[in-house]
Amino acid sequence: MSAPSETAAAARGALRPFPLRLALFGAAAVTAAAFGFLAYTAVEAGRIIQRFGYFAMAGTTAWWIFALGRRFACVRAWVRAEAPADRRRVLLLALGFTVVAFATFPYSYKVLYDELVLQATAWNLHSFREVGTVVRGYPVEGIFTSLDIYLDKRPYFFPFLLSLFHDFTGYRELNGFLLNTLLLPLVLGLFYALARRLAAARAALAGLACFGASALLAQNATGVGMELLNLVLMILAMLLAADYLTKPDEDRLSALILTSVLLAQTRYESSLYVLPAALVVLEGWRRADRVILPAAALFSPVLLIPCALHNTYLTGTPVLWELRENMDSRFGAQYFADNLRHAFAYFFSFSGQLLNSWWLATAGWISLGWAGWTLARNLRRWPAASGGVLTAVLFAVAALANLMLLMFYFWGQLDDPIVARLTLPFNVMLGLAIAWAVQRCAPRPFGPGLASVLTGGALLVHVGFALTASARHTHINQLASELAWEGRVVEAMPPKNRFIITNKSGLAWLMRRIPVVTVDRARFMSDRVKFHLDHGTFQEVLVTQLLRPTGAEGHFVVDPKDLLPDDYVLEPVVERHIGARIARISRVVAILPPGAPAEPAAKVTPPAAEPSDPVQAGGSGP
Amino acid sequence: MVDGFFMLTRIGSDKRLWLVAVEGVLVVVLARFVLEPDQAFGWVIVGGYWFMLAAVTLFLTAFVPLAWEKARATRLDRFHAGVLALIVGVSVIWSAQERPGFKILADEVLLLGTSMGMHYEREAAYPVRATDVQGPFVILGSVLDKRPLLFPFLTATVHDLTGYRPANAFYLNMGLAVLFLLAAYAAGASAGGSRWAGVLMVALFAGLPLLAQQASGGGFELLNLLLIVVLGLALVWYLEAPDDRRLQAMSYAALLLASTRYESLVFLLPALVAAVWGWWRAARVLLPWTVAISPVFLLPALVQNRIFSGQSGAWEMGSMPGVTTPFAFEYFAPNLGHALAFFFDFGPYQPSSPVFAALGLIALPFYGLLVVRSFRLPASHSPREQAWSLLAVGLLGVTMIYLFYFWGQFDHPVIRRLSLPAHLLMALAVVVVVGRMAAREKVARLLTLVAAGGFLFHSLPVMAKRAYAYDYAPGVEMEFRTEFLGLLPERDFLFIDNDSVFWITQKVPASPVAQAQARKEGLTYHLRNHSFSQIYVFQSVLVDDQTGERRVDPADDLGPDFELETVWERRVQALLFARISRVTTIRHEGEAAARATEAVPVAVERRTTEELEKARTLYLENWIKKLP
Repeated sequence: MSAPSETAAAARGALRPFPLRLALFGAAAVTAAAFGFLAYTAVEAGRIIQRFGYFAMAGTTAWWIFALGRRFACVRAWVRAEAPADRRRVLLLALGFTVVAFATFPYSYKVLYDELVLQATAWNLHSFREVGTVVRGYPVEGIFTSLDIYLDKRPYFFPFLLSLFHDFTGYRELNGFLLNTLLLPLVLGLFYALARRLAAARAALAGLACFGASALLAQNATGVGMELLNLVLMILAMLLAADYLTKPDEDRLSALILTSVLLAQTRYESSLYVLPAALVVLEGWRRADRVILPAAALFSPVLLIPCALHNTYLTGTPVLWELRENMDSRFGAQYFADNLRHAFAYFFSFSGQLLNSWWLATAGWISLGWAGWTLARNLRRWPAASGGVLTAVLFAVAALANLMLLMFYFWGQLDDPIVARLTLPFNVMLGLAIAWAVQRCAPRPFGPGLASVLTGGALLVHVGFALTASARHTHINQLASELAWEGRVVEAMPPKNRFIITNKSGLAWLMRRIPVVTVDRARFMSDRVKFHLDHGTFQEVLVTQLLRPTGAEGHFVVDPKDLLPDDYVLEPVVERHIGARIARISRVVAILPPGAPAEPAAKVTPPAAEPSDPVQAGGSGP
Repeated sequence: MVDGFFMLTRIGSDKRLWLVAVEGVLVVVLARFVLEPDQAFGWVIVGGYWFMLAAVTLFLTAFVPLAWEKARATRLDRFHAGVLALIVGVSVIWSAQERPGFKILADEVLLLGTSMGMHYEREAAYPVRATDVQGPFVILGSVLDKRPLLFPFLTATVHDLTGYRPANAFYLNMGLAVLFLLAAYAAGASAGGSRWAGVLMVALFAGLPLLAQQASGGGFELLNLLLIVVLGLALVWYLEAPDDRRLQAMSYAALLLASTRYESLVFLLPALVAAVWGWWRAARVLLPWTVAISPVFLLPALVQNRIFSGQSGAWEMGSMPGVTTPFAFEYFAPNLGHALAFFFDFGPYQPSSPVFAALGLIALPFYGLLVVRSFRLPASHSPREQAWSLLAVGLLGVTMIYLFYFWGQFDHPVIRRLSLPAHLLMALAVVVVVGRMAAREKVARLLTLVAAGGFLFHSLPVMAKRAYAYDYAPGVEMEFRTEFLGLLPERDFLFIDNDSVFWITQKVPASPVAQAQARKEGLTYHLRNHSFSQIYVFQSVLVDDQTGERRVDPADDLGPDFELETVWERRVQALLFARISRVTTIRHEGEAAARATEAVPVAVERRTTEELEKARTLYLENWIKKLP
C-alpha cells in the first residue's frame, strides 16, 4: 500500500484514456449534419423520408420505450411517496379537466387542414408504412389505394403514434381524437410531477389548477393536432432532465436524449428544446465529473437525421411555407409590434371570447417576473441550483425564445383561434412559475391561503370565463362546419359508389374512403370522370360549390374558383346557408362530349385550369 | 341564558350590525327606488350571473363541508343501504313513468332561455333574436325575465360543464330529485326523531305524481323544494351549535331560496329570526364577513321584482277576466276549495296523492299546536324542534300567499306545482306528530306501509296514464314541436311561432307571428335568398263545436300574404289541432314577391374574389338586419 502523496502523483502522471466515445459522438454528429443538410437536394431528402422515415421513427420509438421502461421503478416510487390525499386531488383535477374538455368541445377538426393532413399521414403510415399524405385514392380491386401522395411539412411523430393506434385497434377516424383525449390527463399528471420538483404539494396543485383550467387545452384535447403530444414530450423531457441532473447516469441520460429526439420530431419549433437538453447533458457531466455517453447519446445525431432531412426538404420547397401574396420570408421585424399587441390582447382578454386564461396569465407573468428577478440576483450561484430549478430555467428560456420567435412570424397573432395553441408550451412555464412563487410565499403569513386562493380562483375563472369561450369556439370554424355538413348529407344518402368533386381539400372524403378530386383537377379531367361514370365505377358524382352574394340583396353567383366547365351538366341537390354564403351540393347529370352545345344554364368561363399541385391540399396552419 | 339575555340587549350597540342594516337598506333603496327600471334591469342582465356564481360558491364552501361531516358521522349500515336503494328505486320509477319535457309553459322555456343567455353570453336574459350565420351561436337580442336566476344559473353551469343541450334542464331536475329525496330522508329523520320518520317522508313524496312530473321537467319547483329542506337542515345545524360557518350555510341557503322562486323571499324572515336566536344561544353576535355582505346578493331578486310592479301582465291577471288585484281575502275560500279538490281527486286528471293529503291534513292542526308551543316555551324545546318550527312558519307563509293569490287554484294544470310547499308542510306535520307519539317507530312503519299502498294502488297508475299531462294543451303542443324537431336532421330552417323562444333554445332561428307580419319584407328577402332550407309556421287550429269548422287561431294567423302548405297536423284536444306548415309564397300587394325553391337562382356575372368578399360583407350586414 502506497502513501497518499505517492498515489496522487501516480494519478497525475498516468495517461488519461483516449476519449473514444466522445470522438465517436463527434464523428456521428459531423456525419449526421453532412448527411442531413448537405448530401441531398430537397427532392431527394423528401424521397428518403417518405421511404425510410417510418422505420427510423419506429426504431427510435422502440428504443425510447425501452429507455423509459428502465425508469419505471422510479416513477412508481415517486407516486407511492406522494400523500394519498394529494394523489386524490391531482387525480380529481386531471380527470375533471379531461371530462369537462370531452363534454364541452365536440370531437371535430379545430385547425384545418393541419389536422386532416395528420390524419391522412397516419392512414398512409398505417396502410403503406410510407410517410406521406394521400391526395388521390380509389378503391381498386376492393382495396382503397392511394395513387398520389406528397410529403407534408409537419413532423410526423404524432401521425406515427396515431398509426400505431390504428395498427392495434383498426383504422377509424375517431382514433385521432381519442388519442388526444387520452393525452390530456397525461399532460396534467406530468405537469404536477414536474411542479413537485419545484414546490410542495399544495403549491404544485395551485400551479396545476392554473395551467389545467384552460379552454385552450380542452380544445386541443378534442382535436387531432400534435400540440398535446408536444406538451407531453416537453414536460417529460424536463422531468427527465431534472432527474438526470439530480443523479447523472447512463440510464437517465438515455431516457432524456431519446425523449428530446422525439420532441424535436413532434412540432417544427420543438427543435429549439434540443439546446437546453444539450446544456443539461453538459451540466450533468460537470456534476458527475465525467463524460457520460451511453449508446443513445452516442447515436443521437444519427437519430436526428430524419429531422435534418425533413428540414432540407422544407427549406427547398417554398410552396409549403404558406406565405401570403408578395411575401418571400416567414419571419420579419415588421411583424413584431403588431404581434406583441395581439399577444397582450390574448393573454389579458377578460371577454370570455378567446381561448385564454387571464388568471394563469396574470398570476403567471407576475410569478415569472419575480422568478426572473430572483434568477438575476442569484445567477452566480447557478452551480448549486437544484436539478429541478436549473431545468426549469433552461427550458423556460427556450420557451420564451420560442414565444419571441413567434412575435417575428408573419402569422403570429396569438388572439387568432388558429394561432393561440402555440402558447401552450409557454403556458407550462407560467404554471410552473406560479407553483414556484406559491412555494416561495409559503413561509409568509398569507402563504398558506395563497395556494387555496389561486386554486379556487383558477377553477372559478374557468367556469366563469373559459367555458363560455369553449361554447363560442365549438362552431367557430365555418369551413369545418361546412365539411361536417357535407359529410352528414352524403352519409344520409342511399348507398352508392360515389365520386366527389370538391371545392376544398379532399382529405376529409379520403379519410372516409370516398374517392375525390378538387374542382381544379376535375376541370381538365372531365373525360376521365365521364369514362368512369359511363362504366359504372361511380354511380353518382357529386360536386360541392360555394355560392356568393354579389350585393346586399343577395343575387348569388358561383364562386369563380368553384366553377366547372360547361361540359359538366349539374343539378342542385341540397343547399345550406353558411356564413353569408351558400354551400351547394349538386349532382353531375351528364358530361357532354367535346363540341356539344352547352346547357342553357350558362356559366362564367372558369379561370385558366391549372393542374392542381398536390401540396395545395395541405395545410393552412402556421 | 342570562348571558344570552344581556347579549340581546347589547345588540343595539353592535356597530357591525348597524352597518349590515344600513347595507340592507341601501340594497333595497338602490334596487327599488334609485335606479331607473331599464338601468336596473340592465345591471341585472350583466351582473346576474356573477352574483349567482358568488352566492352559490359562498353557500357551497360552508354547506358542503358541514354536510360531509354529517354524512361521515352517519354509519352506513344495512338500514341506510336500504334507504339509498329506496331512493334510487323511486327515482328510476319516476324516470320510467314520466317523459322528460317542458311541463309548464312558457315558464320552463324562458328559464331555459335565460340559462342559454348565461351560457353563451354570461347575460341573465332569455334570447329573442339569435343567429349562427358567422359560426358561433350569437344572441342578437334578449330580455330580462321576471323569474329569479338560480335555476337558470345551475342549468347554465350544466351547459358549461357538459356542452349546451336543451335537455340539460330536465337532467338537472332528475339529479335534483335524487338530492331532494336524500334531503327529505335527512329532514324526516331529524324532525321526526327516528330513521323510520325519514323513510316515511320519502315514501309520502314518492307517491306524489306531481313531484315525479316536476322531476322530469325544466321548472324551478324541485330546486325550490330542495332548498327549503336544505334551509331546514341548515337551521337545525346552526341552532344546535351556532358558529360562523353554520351561520353562513344557513344565510346563503335562505338567500339562494330567495333567488329560486319569487315568494321564497318569505323564508328570509325565519332565517333572520334563527340568526338572532343563534346569537342568543351563543351569547355573542356571530357575523363573519361572508354573512355581512350577504344582503348584496338580494339585489337581482329585488330588481326583478320590479317587473311585477311595472306590468300587470307579469301577475298573469289577463288569464282570468274580471280580476283587478293579484291578492285579496276574497280569493281565500274558493282557493281552499280548489286545494281540497286537488288533494282528494281520485281520478287520473290530477297528479295528487289522497293518502298524502289525508295524513297531512290530519296532522296539521296538531303540528300547529306544537309549533305555537315551541315558540311560547322555547326553553322546553330542543334547537332541532325550534328550527323545524321556524321552517314550518315559512312554509305556512308561502302557502298563505298562494291561497290569497287570485290564481291560487291548486287544481289548475299550471298552478298544481305551487302546492309543493304545502305538501312539504303536511309531510313535516306528519313526521313531527308521529315523532311525538310513544310508539313512534311502529306508527312510522305503519304509515310508511300506508304510503306505499297509496303509491302502488293510486299514484303509480296515475303516473302511468299521465292524463294530467294530456289535459294541458300547451304541454301537448310542445311535445308535438319537439317530435317534429327530432325528425329534421339539420337545424337550417326558420320557425314562425308565438312560442319563438322554444325554437331559439333549440338553436333554430324563430320569430313570433306579429313580428313576422311586421317584417314581411325581411322574410321575403330570406325566402328569396334561400337563407333557410324552409320557413315553417306553427299554428293552433280551433274547431267550432257547433259546425265542426276549423279556423286558425287569430293569434297565429299570418294573414293572406303568406301562402302556406300544411306539413303535419295533430289533434291536441277535442276542439284543438296543432298544425305545422311551410311558407311557399309571400305576396306583396297581391303579387308573389318570393317563392320557396329547392335551390337559389344563380346569376351569370363575373366578379373578382375581392369584389365578392366586399359584397359578402354588405350582404351579411343586410342579412342580419332582415332577420325577423
